[in-house]
Amino acid sequence: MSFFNNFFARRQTPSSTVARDRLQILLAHERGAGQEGDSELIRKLHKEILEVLSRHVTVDQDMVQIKLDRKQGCSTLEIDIEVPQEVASNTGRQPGQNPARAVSGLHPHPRHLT
Amino acid sequence: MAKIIVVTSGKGGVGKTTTTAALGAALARNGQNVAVVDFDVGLRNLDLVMGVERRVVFDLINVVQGDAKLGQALIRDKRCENLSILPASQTRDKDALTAEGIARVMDELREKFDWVLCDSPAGIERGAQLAMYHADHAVIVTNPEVSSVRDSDRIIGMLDSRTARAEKGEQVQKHLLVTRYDPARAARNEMLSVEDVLEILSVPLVGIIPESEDVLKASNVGAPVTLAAPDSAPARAYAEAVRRLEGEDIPVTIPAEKRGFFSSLFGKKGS
Repeated sequence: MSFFNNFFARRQTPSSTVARDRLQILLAHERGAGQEGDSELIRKLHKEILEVLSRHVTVDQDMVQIKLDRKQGCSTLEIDIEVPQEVASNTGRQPGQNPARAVSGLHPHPRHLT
Repeated sequence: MAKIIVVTSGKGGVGKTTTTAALGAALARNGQNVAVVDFDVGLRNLDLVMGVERRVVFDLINVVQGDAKLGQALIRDKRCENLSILPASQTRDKDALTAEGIARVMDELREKFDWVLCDSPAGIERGAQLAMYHADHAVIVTNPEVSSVRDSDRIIGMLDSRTARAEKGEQVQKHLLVTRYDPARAARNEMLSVEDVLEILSVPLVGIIPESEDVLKASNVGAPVTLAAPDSAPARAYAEAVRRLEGEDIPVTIPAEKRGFFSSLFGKKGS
C-alpha cells in the first residue's frame, strides 16, 4: 500500500514545495500591503485618476480599483475602471456591451489592454 | 545588566512556553542567573510547565500594580537555584498590565539577573506587544507549517517596528527556532525544510528542535525538558541553542534520537 502511495506521489509536486511556493507568494503580497508608502501612493493615484476621468465622464468612486504589486525585479500597477454604459456607447461602442475595462501594467514595459 | 529575550511566535501552540522553560533552565544550568516571565495573562501556563503551579502566591500583575514586591512574586526553582519564575495572573483583566508598570518591573529584573526570558502570549495584540517591547533579543518559535511561518512573518514585522529598540533606531536581534521538526518527513518532502523556512523568513537560525515524545513527558511531570531529560534529542538541541544565544559559534545540527539515523537522512536532503 505505502509502496504504491510512494510510487504515485513521486509524480506529483511534493507538498512541501507547494507549501513553500504558496507562502512566498502570500508573504510577498502581505509585506507589500503593510508598507505605508504604498498605500499613500495608491490613495494619491486614486484621487488624481478620478479627477482626470471626471473631467470627461461621470465615474462612480467605487468603480475604480487600483492595485500595486511588488514582485522580484518589477512592480505592476493595475488600474481597473468601469466606465458607465451610456458613455461607452457614445464613444462608438455597441450598446449592450459590458462596461469598458482598462488594465495597464507599468514598469518595466507598459502595456495597454482595452 | 540582563539581556532580555522575548520568546514569541504569533501562532499559538507552536511551543513558546516549552521553549521558554527549556531555554531558561539550560541557561541556568550553564551557571547564568535567569528569570523566566510569563506574559500570557489570563492563560498562564509557564508555572505549570515548570512545575511550580502550587507555589504561586503573587504574580506579574500584583508586581506591576505595586501590590507585591518583585522578590515576593519570584519563585525559585527547586532543581536549579539560579532559575526563577515570575508567573502570570489568571485575571481576565488584561488592561491591568500598564506599559509604565511593565517598564519598572523589567528595569528591576535587568538589575537582578543575567538573562530575562519573556514568554509571549499568542497573537499580535497588546499582550504580545508588551512582551516584546523591552526585548534585546527575540527567539521566534516556528513550526515547519504554513500558518506558523506566516504568523512568524507578522511577528518579525512587529519586532522591527514596535519595540523600544526599534523606536530608538536600533534592532532587536532576531533568532529563528524551528520546533517540532521531523527530519524523516522533511526528507520525504512532506514538510517544509529548514532551508525553506529560513529562505522565507530571512532570520538567522538558532536551533532546530526535533519532534519528540520527551517534550510531552517533561511537561506532564512539570519540568523543563532540559532538566527532565537532559540527554534527550530535544534537550540537546535546546542546550545547543542556548550556547548560540550566549555567543558561541557552533554549527546547527539536529540531534538525533537514534544516533546517525536521522542525521543521515537529513544529510541526503540537499536538493
